[in-house]
Amino acid sequence: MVNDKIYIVSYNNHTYLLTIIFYQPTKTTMQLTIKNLTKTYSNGVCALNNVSLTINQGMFGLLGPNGAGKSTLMRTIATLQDADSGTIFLDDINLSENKQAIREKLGYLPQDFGLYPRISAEVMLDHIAQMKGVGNKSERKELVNGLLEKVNLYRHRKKALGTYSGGMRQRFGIAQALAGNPSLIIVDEPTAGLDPSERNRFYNLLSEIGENTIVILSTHIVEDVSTLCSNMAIICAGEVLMQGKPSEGIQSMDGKIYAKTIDKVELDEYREGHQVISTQLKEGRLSLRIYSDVSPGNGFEASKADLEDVYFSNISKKVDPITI
Amino acid sequence: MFFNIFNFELKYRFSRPATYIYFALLFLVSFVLVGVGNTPATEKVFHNAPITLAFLQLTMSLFGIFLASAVMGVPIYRDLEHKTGTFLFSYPISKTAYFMGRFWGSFFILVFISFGSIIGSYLGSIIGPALGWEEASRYGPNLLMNYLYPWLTLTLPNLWLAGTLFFAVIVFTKNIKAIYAGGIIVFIIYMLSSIFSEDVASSSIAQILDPFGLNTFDIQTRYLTPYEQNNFLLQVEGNLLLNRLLWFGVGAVLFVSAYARFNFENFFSPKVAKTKKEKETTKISSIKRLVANVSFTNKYQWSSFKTLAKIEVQNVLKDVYFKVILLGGVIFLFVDLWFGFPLYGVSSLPVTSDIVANRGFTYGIFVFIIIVFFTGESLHRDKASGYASINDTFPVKDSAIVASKFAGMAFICVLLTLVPVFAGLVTQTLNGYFNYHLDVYLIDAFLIALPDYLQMVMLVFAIHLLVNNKFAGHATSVVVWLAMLILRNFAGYDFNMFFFSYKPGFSWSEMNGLGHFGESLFWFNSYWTAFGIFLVLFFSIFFSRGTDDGFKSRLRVARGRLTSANAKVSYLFLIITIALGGYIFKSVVYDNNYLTSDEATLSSVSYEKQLKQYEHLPQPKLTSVNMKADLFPYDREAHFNAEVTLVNKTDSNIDSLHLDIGQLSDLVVMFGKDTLQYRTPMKLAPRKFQVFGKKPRLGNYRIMALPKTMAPGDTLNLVMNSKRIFKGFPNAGSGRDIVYNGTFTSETLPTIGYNPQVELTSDSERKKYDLPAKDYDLPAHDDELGRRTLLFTDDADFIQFEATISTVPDQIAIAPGYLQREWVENGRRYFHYIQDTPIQAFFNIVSAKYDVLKSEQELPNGEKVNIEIFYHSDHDYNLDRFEAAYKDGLKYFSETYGSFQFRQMRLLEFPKYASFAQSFPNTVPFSEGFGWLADFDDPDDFDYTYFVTAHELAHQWWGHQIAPNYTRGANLVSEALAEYSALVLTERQYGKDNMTYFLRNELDDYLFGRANESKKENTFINCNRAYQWYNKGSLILYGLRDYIGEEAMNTALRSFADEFALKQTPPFAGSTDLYRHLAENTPDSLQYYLEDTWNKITLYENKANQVKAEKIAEDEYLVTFDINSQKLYADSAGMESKAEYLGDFIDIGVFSEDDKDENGRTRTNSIYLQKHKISPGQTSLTVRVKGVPVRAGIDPYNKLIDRMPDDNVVDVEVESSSNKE
Repeated sequence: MVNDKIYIVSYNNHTYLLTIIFYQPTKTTMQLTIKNLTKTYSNGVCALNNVSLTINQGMFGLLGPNGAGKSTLMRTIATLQDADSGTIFLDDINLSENKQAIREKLGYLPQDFGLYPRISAEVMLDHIAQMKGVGNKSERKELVNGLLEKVNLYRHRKKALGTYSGGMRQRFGIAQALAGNPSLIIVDEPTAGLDPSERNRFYNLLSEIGENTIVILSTHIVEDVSTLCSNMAIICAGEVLMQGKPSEGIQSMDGKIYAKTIDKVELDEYREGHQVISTQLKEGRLSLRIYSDVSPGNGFEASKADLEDVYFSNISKKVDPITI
Repeated sequence: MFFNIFNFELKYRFSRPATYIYFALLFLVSFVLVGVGNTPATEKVFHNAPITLAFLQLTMSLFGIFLASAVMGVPIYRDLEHKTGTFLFSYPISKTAYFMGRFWGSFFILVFISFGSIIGSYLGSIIGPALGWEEASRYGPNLLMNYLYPWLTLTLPNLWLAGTLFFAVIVFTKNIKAIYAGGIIVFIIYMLSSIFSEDVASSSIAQILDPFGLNTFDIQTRYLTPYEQNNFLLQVEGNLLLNRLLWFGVGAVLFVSAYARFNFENFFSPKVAKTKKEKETTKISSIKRLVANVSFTNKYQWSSFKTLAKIEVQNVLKDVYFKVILLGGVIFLFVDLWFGFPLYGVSSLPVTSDIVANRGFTYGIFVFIIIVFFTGESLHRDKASGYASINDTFPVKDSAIVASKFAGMAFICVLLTLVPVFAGLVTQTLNGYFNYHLDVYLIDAFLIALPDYLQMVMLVFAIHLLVNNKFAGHATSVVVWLAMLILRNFAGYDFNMFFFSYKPGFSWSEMNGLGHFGESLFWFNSYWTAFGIFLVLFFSIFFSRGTDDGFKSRLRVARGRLTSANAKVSYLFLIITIALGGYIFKSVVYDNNYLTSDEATLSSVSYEKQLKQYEHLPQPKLTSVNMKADLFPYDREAHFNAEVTLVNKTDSNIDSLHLDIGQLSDLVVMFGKDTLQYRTPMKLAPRKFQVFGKKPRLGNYRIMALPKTMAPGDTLNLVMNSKRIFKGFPNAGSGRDIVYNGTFTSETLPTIGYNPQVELTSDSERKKYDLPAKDYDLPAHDDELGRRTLLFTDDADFIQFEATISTVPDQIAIAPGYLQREWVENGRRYFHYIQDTPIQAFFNIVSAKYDVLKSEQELPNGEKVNIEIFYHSDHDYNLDRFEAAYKDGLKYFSETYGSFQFRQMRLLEFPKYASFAQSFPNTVPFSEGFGWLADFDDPDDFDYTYFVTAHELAHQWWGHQIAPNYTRGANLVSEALAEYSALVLTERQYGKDNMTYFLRNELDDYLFGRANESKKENTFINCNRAYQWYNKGSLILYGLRDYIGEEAMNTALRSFADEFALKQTPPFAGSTDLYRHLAENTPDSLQYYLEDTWNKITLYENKANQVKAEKIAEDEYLVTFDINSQKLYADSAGMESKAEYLGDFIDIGVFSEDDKDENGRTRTNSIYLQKHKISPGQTSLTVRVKGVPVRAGIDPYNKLIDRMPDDNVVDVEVESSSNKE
């Protein structure tokens, strides 16, 4: 069941030919079904409010502002905490009843995490690979080296993790999330702290994997989703505001986005009469984008919709998108 | 600006509960200690005496050091941790204002907290007596100065040192954990100074080196009498002043250098890791498998457990604090093993049983620290490091995680147990001692130390599982152990089954191995290990995984796990614990009659209250004993069958016999074929710990009706059958009388009549139980009954003694008397001894596997004495010293004090469960730990083996020939004379200089003894304490010989001996009889010395201020002394007053350079030594000497009792002759 594929990976203007041997899971399609998930913390914050989502194989982007409930949802799927009500099924496995089975399939990169500061990357990753079920010693060694190389840490494998910089630590986090054979990968704000080239590298890595697994990527960076994800959801204040393909989202907005450059002082006037979805400062003046079914005239020009418009128009229902 | 920051710091601190908690802690502890009277003050010292308060302040300031780490460590670290420091750049704050404001603000808080102790002890001393928690008479006047002065001189400097240290450590390292390291360094210095303080010779170093001044205080106040402790403030002068200056200076240096080092940029900028230019790798392998076979079968859980445990161990081993603490432990381990516990400054050979006994002392503290803190670290490592959010998503079971943490710590425990084994082997090898007992090492490591450590881990583990917060967990663990310590040491609770991991004490012996202690250790270790496993398993239901660790959700989860497999196994272990506990309880409470300390006191009270009426009841005395004893050492049992003859030596009729059976069981007294009936007059309340079958206990005192009334002079023959049985194991105590190898017991017969030794002695305790105060232990010198009664035992005067003892075939059994026959019968070995001359009823039975050294000594009168030394086969190191002491002593003593009364003299080794030697008639049991293994490698060592043997031999005269009577001070006839005679014999063998160390020790013991006197110090002639009859006795008798000369001294002792030697009829010898003979041989001019030393408590303050020398001719000098002398008399409480006298004879000595004699011993060379009549106050005098003067002074050999013996001698300042030319 081994299937060879050839990928072109670009890295720092060099092009390498990589051959990656992938193990095909016997089951070719999987589905994560989240139904009516609700979680309220003891301090009264409602982090998840009746969240329902269906996630298929491939990259799934979870987009939302800070504090939207993304991490709570991720942690719940990663079996780190229980929801107050609602269910999560991975195919027919009920997560709350069989965490063990979920954990066996899981690769998780938390938003905040630490490592044992005095242990070297190599030893730590070997340990983690063992924990993820890679029992064969030589196989494990090869995997560890491969992963470390993938995330560009091979040179630093003997160093204690405590000496790692933020970016290196994040890369290690990615490596450990991919170790073993996870079929459900959850990455929470994975690109935080990575420089642009590392980010590219990571995107490529994810997209390689995403084909045969469920990859849930949580982020508040719209661009991450638009480059990578075939499916997405927007969540804000604990509620799912939109779910679907990014392209569908954009399509639904197409022709309904209008833009105009105004003076800052005029903003309040425009807010009265229009559904403002985003503002952006440009050379001291304000570039205003509004949602409208018909052309509003008044100097507004039709603008091509993008995913950002989708995002902002959705979350503007919950929070004020105007940042000035 | 400074004040803004200072005020901010104060406001912040005063808004934190921690500040008040620290304050309350010091307040409460001081309040309780002083209020309920749990201070170290002896009975005649007030709980609020200046010295008691100073000691309390000092101890509290040790707590203060922990508090200082919390208070002084964080103020600037706070800005670093919360990253507020970076803002400080932008504010117009100067470095000085920030640094000083934070420092002094925090220090002010620390000072505030330290007042908790002052206020607590002050209120305690008022409220305690007012509410009747403690007698009002135990509190003296409350002077403010008594509180403030020690605070100012002791507490404040300690806080300053600790405060600057912790503040500076943060400035220099920017790492909060470095505080541990700083604390450990200070602790190590303190421990070092404690080691120095144990030897009088190096005490000055200890006094200056101790960062807390604890040893300094200890040594400086060591000789203060109760009166002085109640009245004097300890002046800051001499070594204490040096100490305070030194450590204040260290603090100042820390403070200044921290200030110099500190600046905003450095301190708050993040640590930049050294950036090595990363080389571009050109090599990227083209083919990599990123996919591996995964499997989650059961094997997965097992291998996960292993890898988790392994990484846990690596986490601990790589922790720099683990390394630092362990290193500290290893250093002290080597110190303890290397020096051991020297006696008279002489170390022992590093035998394995000593090594394993010494491993626990300081090293144990470090192990405790490691276990408590790293167990907590281990359980919280994942959460604290943030790794939990990864680790907790792995498909490994909770139980595997918990088990792996435990296994990791268990592995650390194994390492910790192996460290002393290697340290021990290294110590032995480096000492050239190759008789390794690996079995002892391994048993000690794996069956004694390891269970201890594991149990410790288990409890801490369970606490952390339950508490689920690292710091709260640490605190709870420490509090649990502290609570156990306080309950045991201050509240008098000692029932081991109730104190986690506590076991009955045990002791290794070379002769007896672990002996019978193995049994109690086995049961107690099983019990605590089972309980520990229960704790770990049960409390692992509280193990929390994931991010949801609110209390409610944990409780919900835990409740769900109450029926999990883990929990079920834990219940099983609880049941096992209860079953083991039941067995132990039976053994401790029922078989070994456990009594609480209150119950033990009450037994004494009841004894006195119910039986005192019988005290002077006429009773017959033993005149002969024919003892048949069957010893079963391996069963720890002995059966006694004694035919005794009793005679009514009183002038009244006797119709009943009063016997106290003590530890004997099954006493049956037979007259012919009749068993004597008895009643038990003493009744006691049932044992508190008796659960089933509670009924009043009967005392050991029995009153038997005699078959017929004994008229004066009547004789009665009785047979006494009894047993001594050791069954199971007790809560505490060595039970050393009958052991597998090394039985030594003198308790074979019941004692006759009321025994006043049982009465409580402490007056404050007596008052509590409505008993009258007890002044003297013994009757007055001229008391008729006292003079008719013998001191050692009033059951007999002199008796005929015969013994037949059987034991196991591989042992030799010994009792006083000459061996008649030895035979084997029914697989048992018999020995028949007859003592053909009368002895006191003071005999013993010994049985062990022995090698025997036989020798012979001819006495001056031509008689021959057989010498036999019975020793454990390996212990032949110092046989020649024992033998020489016997040979020299037999010759010299019989020549000087009168003929020796026996034809043999024996010495018998017994296990080191006790460290003493005891002289029975011609038979001296001598502890294994008291010289057999001493390592006399330095020619200057004091040969205490020789000395103690001589002492015990001297008892054959002083004690056995001349039997002391039962009056005040009579024990000096036995002990002081034995001590003196041994000193003389040792001096003859080793020279005067060799005695210096010993005499200094005697002086120290005497002065320390009187300082801790709980009633009143008696004059020597009325001596009632060991520090008087041993230590003062040898000093003043040795001094007397120096004054009146050896001849006069010997004449006096000889005539005293002649009057009383082997006198079988009363009156017997008392202290006044000896005094009479000494006075007769003391010239009038020196009677004052005898009077001063025997009838008064006399101290001298002798001091050499300056000694100058002037060269007057080749090798001739004129030496000019500037000296001070003052004689003082002390009353019984220790209050001194200056004596009024014209002048006393005191040595004036001049010494040239020391050299070595032909034996390699250090020799002092006196070029002048004369007694001068020195008047009180300052004196100048000049003497002319031949030879180069180096040192000189007044009373250079410390023949007089002087509390500052060191200042008697000074270096001589030789004026260079060039001045004159």
